[in-house]
Amino acid sequence: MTPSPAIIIADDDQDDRLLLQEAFNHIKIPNPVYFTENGIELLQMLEQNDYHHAQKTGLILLDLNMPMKNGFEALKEIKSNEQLMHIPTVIYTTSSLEEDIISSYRHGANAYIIKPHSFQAILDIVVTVYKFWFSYSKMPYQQMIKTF
Amino acid sequence: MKKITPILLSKIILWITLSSLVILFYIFYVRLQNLIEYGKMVEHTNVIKIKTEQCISQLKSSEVRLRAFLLTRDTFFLQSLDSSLLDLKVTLNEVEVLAKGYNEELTLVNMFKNAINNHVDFIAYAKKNYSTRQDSGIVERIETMEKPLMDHAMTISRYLVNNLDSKLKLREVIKNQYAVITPLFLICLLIISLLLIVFAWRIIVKELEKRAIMQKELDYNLEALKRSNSELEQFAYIASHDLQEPLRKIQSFGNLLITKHGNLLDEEGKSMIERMQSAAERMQTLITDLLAYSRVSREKIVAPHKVDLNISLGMVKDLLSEEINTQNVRITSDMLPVINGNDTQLLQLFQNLLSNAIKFTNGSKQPEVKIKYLPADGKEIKGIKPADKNKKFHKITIMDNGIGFDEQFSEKIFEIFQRLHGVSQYKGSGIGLAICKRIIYNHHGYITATGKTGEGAQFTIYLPE
Repeated sequence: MTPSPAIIIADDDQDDRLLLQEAFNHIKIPNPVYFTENGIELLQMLEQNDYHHAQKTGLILLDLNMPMKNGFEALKEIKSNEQLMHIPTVIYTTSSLEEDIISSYRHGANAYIIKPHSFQAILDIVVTVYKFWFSYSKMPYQQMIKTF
Repeated sequence: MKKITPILLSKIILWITLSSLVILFYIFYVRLQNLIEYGKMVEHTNVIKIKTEQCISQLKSSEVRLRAFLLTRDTFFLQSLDSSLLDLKVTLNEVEVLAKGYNEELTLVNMFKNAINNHVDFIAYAKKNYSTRQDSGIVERIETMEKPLMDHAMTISRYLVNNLDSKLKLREVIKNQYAVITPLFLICLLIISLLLIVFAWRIIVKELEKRAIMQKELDYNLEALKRSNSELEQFAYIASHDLQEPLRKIQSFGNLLITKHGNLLDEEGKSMIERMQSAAERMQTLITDLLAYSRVSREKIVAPHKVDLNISLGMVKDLLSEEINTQNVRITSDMLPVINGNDTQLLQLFQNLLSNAIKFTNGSKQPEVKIKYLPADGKEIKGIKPADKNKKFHKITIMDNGIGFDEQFSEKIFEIFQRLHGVSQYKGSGIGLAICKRIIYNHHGYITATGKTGEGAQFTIYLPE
């Protein structure tokens, strides 16, 4: 049996990572959830997983404002890479600027979500996004999903 | 005491200068006229004098010729007598013509003329009566008869000449006076005018220099004001944006705490967290409103387009339909105009004003909101910029029958974070009306508020046509 596709989160904010961790823990999914702190780490992890190992990536949650390599740069690289471009990439950021939203979609983002103000809302988002990409959408790899 | 402003001073100087110049020029003109007049009179008097003397000499020569004829009986003398008498007549006539208009002289001239004429008559008589008769004593007799006449003529002529002389002297003195004083006067006039011009010029230059400095200062202050304004807007934006981050975490972790460990807390602990949560929520409202305010302030309307305010109002009614229905608010509205502007901002404007009208209801009355429209002149707007006075405006009034407010706060309620009521009574951050004011400012309009406690509030917006 192939392992469940991984969920990778790229966010430099420790608190946000913790909140997402809690949310994913809460919904108890079989998919591994990895955390990275910037675009460089994210791309390194993608390379390791998708190039060299059987572990596929099924979803990326990407913060825009990060050091070293920011969300836009990482997004551009993912979406212009033959082997990675199919991976659903959801922008998860505090920015509500119109130009950020437009430019994210232009670079191939699959969704744009503004970080909410309550844990309940984070849970909602995690559940919805998970359901959408791992249950409703047909993706080019086998996956194990949790039924809610 | 009223302070003399530079403008008033320069006006005073201008009028003093102009009137004194006019007066001085008038005096100068009169003096010049007098100079010419007296010059003429001197000349005239001189001519009369010369002619009078000529008359006397012609009379004398006539007399001599008569005597010569009587002594020699030579007809040559008779002819020359006739010609000299004719000359005398002509000269006398000239004198008479010259003296016309000068009463004093005319009297004397007439007397002189009479005397001369008497004499001439006598000569004619003598010529007629004694030319044919041979009489050795005739010359002496005639001389005796003639003497008083001649004396009389001489006396009068002397008198006339003396009179003319004294007049001549007087007139010459006056003429000389004028001849000296008039150029002096002209020079004085010139100097005074020059001084006044220089003085006025200096005042004007001083004033202009002062203005230039003031203008520079004003420009500088305006620039500084603009800079500080944009810095403030920038600051508000950054502050509100960055404040949101930690707040979001406070809210999220508070929420997580309740979700995950809620069962470990007793009722008191839960209530404390709830209070923290609601305080955080309130802060969030403040920050989002501040952000909205700073966004409205930053967004200048680059390309205004036509906005139908009826549509904006309809959208706002939809947005607020829940509150409108639960409070059973009756809203009546006139037909509103189509204006040039930013539709998002105008929507926000109506939303803030209408939600205010609905929020501050008076419990005992059925809430009612009336929206009225009238075209208006700039003149009727209080505190309008002078440049806008002649412009035409759309006047839209939003009236409610809610709790109203004290008239003394009609300016203050538009200031940011100003609240007339406690947060527990009526929710809100106190930014809504500040945003309205800013939107109206962006549209080059005006907004005013009037109210009466317990009876309702009325907001009037003026948008340029």
